Amino acid sequence: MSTTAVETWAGADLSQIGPIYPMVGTEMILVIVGVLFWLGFHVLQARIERRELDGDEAAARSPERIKRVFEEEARE
Amino acid sequence: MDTDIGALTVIFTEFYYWVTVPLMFLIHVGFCMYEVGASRHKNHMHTVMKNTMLMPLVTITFFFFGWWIYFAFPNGPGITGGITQSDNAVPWSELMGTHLGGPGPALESAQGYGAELGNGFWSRLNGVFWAAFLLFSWTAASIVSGATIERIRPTAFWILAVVIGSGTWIIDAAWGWHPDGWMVTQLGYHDAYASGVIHAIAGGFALGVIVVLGPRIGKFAPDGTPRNINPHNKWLVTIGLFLIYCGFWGFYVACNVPIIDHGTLGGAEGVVNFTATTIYLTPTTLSAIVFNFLMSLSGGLLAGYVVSKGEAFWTYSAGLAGVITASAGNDLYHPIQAMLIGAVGAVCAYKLHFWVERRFKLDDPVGAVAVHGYAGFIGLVICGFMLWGHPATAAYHETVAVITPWGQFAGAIIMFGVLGFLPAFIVSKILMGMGMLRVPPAVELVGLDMSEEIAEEMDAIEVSEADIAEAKRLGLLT
Repeated sequence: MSTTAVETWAGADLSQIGPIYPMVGTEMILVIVGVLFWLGFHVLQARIERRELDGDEAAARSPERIKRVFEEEARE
Repeated sequence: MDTDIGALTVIFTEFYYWVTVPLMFLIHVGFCMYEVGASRHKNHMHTVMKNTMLMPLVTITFFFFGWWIYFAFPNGPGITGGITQSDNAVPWSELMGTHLGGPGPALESAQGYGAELGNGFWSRLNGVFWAAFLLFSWTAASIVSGATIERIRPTAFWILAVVIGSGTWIIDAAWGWHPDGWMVTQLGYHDAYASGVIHAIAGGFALGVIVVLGPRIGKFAPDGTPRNINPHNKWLVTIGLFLIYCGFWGFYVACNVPIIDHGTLGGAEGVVNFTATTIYLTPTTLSAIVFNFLMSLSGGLLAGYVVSKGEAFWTYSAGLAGVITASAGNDLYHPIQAMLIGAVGAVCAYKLHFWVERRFKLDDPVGAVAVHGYAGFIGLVICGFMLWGHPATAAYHETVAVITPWGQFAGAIIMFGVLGFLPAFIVSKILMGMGMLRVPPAVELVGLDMSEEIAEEMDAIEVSEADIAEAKRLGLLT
């Protein structure tokens, strides 16, 4: 039993062996899952970014903090 | 793979492209270093993450559709023909995974550039060739990254990175960087080391983004005079550019086919002539490109030092501009020609950067549009004059297309304008309309790393309080 097309390399003729990744035949399902994973990243990342920007904007409303940022910037 | 010489040719080619990949990784180390060096302290982490995350996003999308575009679109489609069937490059192809070259369940009816060459050949080259192209994709997106620092939202930048990295640049590669691409066969377009197909398009794309994005707060005085927002760390900037030079060795080598029998490409019948070729399958040598890479780099550096009066950032950038300007024809130029062309490109890029900045109030913090876009454009046009009449197409084409100034000029317009500036401008406008392109002004002022800095402050306070409590328990503090 093997998840790949190979159960032993003994006596194998490599010229007759094609794909050796597991579960050959599921490529289309893998592509669909992969594309969903990619698009899911963009959705989740946009939410994370929105929260961060809200936090940054709140921090910018502190005169003490923004003054400190400008002082550091002037020293750079 | 059934003869010693056949197996050696395949495995040498496989190893050759593999070596280019880690070398080209250095380009991205360099881009990260130089962008962080050019940004202010309050934006460091945002800058490095923006550039880092383009890598996985462009990688997976290049797997899903970018690689297929290269093989499917040489005819446009709709310019000289339809979509080319390319079963080797669709993401569900067996050849897009570990494959030993024998028959597979789904490959009997496979057609496509690689499939026709035989599975034994392509099954071992598909991944390394894909990776070499992918690293070009990262480069294209990374060039744009630098122009947008300190004000673009990562959400927007990563969408734009996918558009250029897995979309527009690979369309231009199918058109102008494929032996059967319509720009090559119809216009005689020649761009051996990517003056246009990477640099002009990325520069044009960066320009399209920053036109919509606008300048950083404080970049221009009320009367429009530009202010210098100097790099925070010039050491990091210059060493970053140095690393990009290092990565260029892999970039150049990856643009070649290392070993192929010219006889199989339409050369003299019955004569075996193994040679390296350009990506167009036209003969060149590794020696040629080593000569010309180093001489054009030198021409750019020398001219850049003089024109910038020894300013480090622009001298290094001018070296890059020199290579980029000469790259279109560096398979054929004489080394001294490459040096002079590099010098011309560097001076033009430097002068144009500051002229455009003053005239149009555009803020390109790292000079990406000039170094890549203008230098690449100029390099394509110069190539048209320098190589006028030289065959652009490989010998197997029935009709020989030749390199001309007008073919190169048209190619430069397509690269910089049609596939670079235009899509970037349109996508940026859409993102701007959705309120997704630029960070709010308050965030830009306080810095894009503020959330992390506040979290780190809270962590530090918590640890400090724990330390104080422990010190009290031990009687060290009262």
